Amino acid sequence: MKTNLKRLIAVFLAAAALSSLAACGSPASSGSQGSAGSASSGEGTLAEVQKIVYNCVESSSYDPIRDDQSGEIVAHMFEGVYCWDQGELVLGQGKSVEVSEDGLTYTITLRDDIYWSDGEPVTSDDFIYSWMRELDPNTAAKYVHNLYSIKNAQAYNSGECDASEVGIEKVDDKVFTVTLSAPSISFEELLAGNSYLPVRQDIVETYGESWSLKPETCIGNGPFKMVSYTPAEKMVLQKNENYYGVNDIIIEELEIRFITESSVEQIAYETGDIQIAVKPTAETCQKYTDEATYLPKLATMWLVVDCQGDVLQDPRVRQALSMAIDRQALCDMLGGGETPAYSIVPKTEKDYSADEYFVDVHGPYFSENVEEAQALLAEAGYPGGAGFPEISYGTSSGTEYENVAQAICAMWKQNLGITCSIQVEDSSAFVAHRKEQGYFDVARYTISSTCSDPIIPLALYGSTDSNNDSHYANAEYDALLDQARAEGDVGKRFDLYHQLDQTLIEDAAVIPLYYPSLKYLIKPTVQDVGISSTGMLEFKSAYVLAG
Amino acid sequence: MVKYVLKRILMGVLTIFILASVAFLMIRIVPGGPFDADVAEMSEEAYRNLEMKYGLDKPLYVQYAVFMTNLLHGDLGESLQYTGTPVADLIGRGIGATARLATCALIFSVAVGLALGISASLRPDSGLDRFCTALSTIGVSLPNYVVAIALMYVFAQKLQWVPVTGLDSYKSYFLPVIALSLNPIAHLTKLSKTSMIDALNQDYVVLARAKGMRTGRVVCLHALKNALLPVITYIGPLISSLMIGSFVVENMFTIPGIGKMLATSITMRDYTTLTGMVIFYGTTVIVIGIIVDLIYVLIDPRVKYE
Amino acid sequence: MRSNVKTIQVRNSELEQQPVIISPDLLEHLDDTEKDREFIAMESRTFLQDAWRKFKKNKLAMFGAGFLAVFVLIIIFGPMVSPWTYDGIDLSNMNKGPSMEHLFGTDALGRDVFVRVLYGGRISLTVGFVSALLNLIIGTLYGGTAAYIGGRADQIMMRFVDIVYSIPTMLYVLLITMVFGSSLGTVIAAIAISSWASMARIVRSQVLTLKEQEFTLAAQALGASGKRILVKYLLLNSVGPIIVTATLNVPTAVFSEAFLSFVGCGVAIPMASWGTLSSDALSNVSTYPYQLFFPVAAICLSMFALNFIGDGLSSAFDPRRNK
Repeated sequence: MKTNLKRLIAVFLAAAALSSLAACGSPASSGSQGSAGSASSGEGTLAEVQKIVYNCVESSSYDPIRDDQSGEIVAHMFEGVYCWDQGELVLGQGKSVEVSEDGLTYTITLRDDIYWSDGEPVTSDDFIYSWMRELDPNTAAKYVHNLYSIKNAQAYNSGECDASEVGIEKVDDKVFTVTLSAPSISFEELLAGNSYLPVRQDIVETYGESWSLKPETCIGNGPFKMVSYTPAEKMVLQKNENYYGVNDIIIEELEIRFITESSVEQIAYETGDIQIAVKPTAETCQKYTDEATYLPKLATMWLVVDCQGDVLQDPRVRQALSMAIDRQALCDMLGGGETPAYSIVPKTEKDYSADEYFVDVHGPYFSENVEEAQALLAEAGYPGGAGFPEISYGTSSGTEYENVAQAICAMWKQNLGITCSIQVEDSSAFVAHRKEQGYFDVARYTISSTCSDPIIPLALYGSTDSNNDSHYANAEYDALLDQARAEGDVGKRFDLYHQLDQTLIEDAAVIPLYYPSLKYLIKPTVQDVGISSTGMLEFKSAYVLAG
Repeated sequence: MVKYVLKRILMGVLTIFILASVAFLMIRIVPGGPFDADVAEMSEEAYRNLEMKYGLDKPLYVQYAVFMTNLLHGDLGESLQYTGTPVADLIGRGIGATARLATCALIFSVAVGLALGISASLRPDSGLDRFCTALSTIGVSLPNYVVAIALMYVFAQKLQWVPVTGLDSYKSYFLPVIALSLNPIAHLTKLSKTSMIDALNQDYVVLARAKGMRTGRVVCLHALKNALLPVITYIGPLISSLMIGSFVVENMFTIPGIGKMLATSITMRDYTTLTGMVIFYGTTVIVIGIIVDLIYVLIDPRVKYE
Repeated sequence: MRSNVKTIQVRNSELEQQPVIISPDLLEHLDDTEKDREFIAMESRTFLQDAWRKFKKNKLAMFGAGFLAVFVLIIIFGPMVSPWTYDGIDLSNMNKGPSMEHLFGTDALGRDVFVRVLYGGRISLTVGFVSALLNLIIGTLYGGTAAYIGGRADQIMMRFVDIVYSIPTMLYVLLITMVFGSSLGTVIAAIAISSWASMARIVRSQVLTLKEQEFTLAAQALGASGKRILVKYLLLNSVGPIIVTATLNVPTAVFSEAFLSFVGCGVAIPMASWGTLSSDALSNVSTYPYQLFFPVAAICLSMFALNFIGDGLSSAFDPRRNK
């Protein structure tokens, strides 16, 4: 079909553009996905009413530092120094950003024509206040670790030093500098993220923490502003007239519904109540193949294995368990575009020192092989699973997770003769128990990165990391981690990352399973909706066709 | 009577405090804390700062003392999940939608349930009886999420008579009210039929009928009052459970009520919201209990105050 | 024999007869055979036998009971006959519709839906009946006792009921699971604990009414013990609403379990109940409707049968119903 072909071309063009950018070695636009819907604009007439209704997961707050969901709505109401546009990282509120020779100091100059939705100008004070507020230990921001690359930020957050020692300095109303503790490959990307968004000091201090829940007090500097909000039902956003790029925005109004059940969302989509469905089932996507978009997510799903458990401390046992899983069968079962994973680094993570994705540089460090797995198990002293105790597999509730658990346990039973007991718990209890060494032998783990740096998943398995649920303790691994964090040269850094990856996988301290994918259904009349690698929709350039 | 009511209210207040303490303890014993779901995405400092901000790092008896002091001042605290929003506000903004649904569902189910039950009781074991009973049984034979999705599929998708989500227009009330009412209708039909039959078999009713009084008058004048007692016992808790909202119905029809709040506050371990919800629910249960007991005395002179 | 026969003067102004004196010789002595003339040739029956007889006459109830019995037999013996197991995962055979091989089709993991529905029946019906039974016993005894004792004890007991009732079921499940581990028993216990309160209230209201009636007073005057009065007189006479509520508590328990699974606290996988089967199939209702249809049909049919049985029981046990 014409639309499909055009879409394919668009994807190829986008991919070609991305790879050429990477070849130039510029540190921008990693983890970007391009747009969904036909990329060619000007096809067909615009609808009279430029309004899109779509479904979104509701967050408990729209304060950028309190948003605990994807941050998509926040990203429409607020804008940072950099921002994403159709999958590309571009300057947003910033006019220019200069990096010093040693890569430690960033001088940020803001645009002259940026205003808040109530008409007040956006100044350096706003940015500085917001970042310092987030770092303030009394604020207790959840995702403050995104700011730890700034000098003394972590120390200030843990109360060890004073606010004045943090590496943020005002130069004048439109210029300020940020000093990092070590050179970063992804700082520009972080500057586009929710942790670096500005908020208004007077609003926050006058109205307290609930300022973002009412349209009158939710003042932002982004392309859209909140017009009405009915918690648990819907929210309406409209174009922000004070936004500098308002003339390029075609969409007048966004209505966001908060439908939680995917079966209900499907009905709403089919009746035309909503135009974008964000949690369709795999089967629904197959039914509407023309309108479905699949995108890999910057995330991985894996199993943590209790490396200090009685039977599991033997790496051969862990390797056997890993090799006996048929990951492609798992992905087929899930049916939503998932792909097998042989590393915990997400598939779309770029390797800046090479021209390709990180996991493609070296290829998998092991392969699925049932005979070899059985041999390893026998070698470890449990031929055919004889004498092997029952493994407890922990997972939180949710159809996808439970199905994966049952499938894997069936595979282990069939291929290795090992029995499992699956323990399903509600998410809070599950996470607390997963941390306890010995509670679960094997448990599911997933991570979604907010920015592109392979160190994020790899650093989890340093022996002192509080999230090391594999309880993996390898001095060599820790040493590599320290080295990698301090390494300034991109090439050498990624080399170390590869070594970390290899050590972790060959030791089978974790068992990677698959890469989840994002699925969307978008009505054909809605065009140019951008989708970021973390699954956030962007409507800055979107428009609706008539008919 | 005033003395009785005052005594009951006093006892009710005491009960609420005990209830709040029990809920306080129970949710804190259960494994997993309010910030654990995100703990993999947080740094250690952030986790510690959060605990300090909400006083969760203090020993249990200190937390309890703070909680009780606040409660005595009428302060339910701030939600842990919805940063900065007081629990009272959370309940306040959701209760409107839930209350509206509850009122419609109550009226609908009482009207239909009593109608079916009384009609069935007038001619026991007849075709009418069988029909009414069968109709009401549907309400307890299907899980409510199945009913909801079926109703939605037929009326919202195929026929497009009603909207799928929200409570915007009067039309959006139809499906949720039906989904909420099916179970109560089943109970009410059965209860009213059984107690109506009992009442109709009383000697004085038989006498009235033998004297030639018309059935309708017999029912309304004599039998109904006494038949209503078990029905009122059922309606009391029904009102409480409708006020707390149905998780499934509000979830499926995207209704901004408090129905989801109880279940999500437990899974998210939002301590303050949970205790707030339990207190709210307990208060409605107790208040309605007092009202129901008063109605007993009014309707049935054989029942006395204690 | 009468010794002091009074002489009765019958005065009849119209007849002006001589007064008739009733003396012993006017009375004829009947022999003992006359006593047996009004012998009723029927054996005495106990309450239970009476009830069973009434129940048997109710065609609908018998049909329901028969259906349920057959159903239970299929549920128990069906899986033994079928070549498929409820946890037999076959990833090459996912989501296939009903066929000769798989009567009800296969689910998302390739398991046979027919066997899973039968297994689900075991779990659901066990949860339903056992928790409804526990609910019935605890609630009836508690409510009846509270109403009979009355006074301050009644008030305190009912306030305790208020507290138990106001704690959400999910909390009970989480706590019991924590202490005793997650199992079928945990779920049953939690459902029973959170639902006996409404039964207690209904029983209490019934007993309160009956307590003031004359037969209670009579029994007390005759010296019956409190327990005897409670059980034999008050509770047995409240049987109508009690049975009705108890019967309706079975589906409520089944659906409570489904709700718990909905939010992640229900029976553990790979055990499946009708609740988990139907809530899992919900999101695929338009693509694989059979996965939802069969568990729901099973629930519907068995609950209908249960209701007929309940109706039959309530009219059979009600001593005031004259049929």
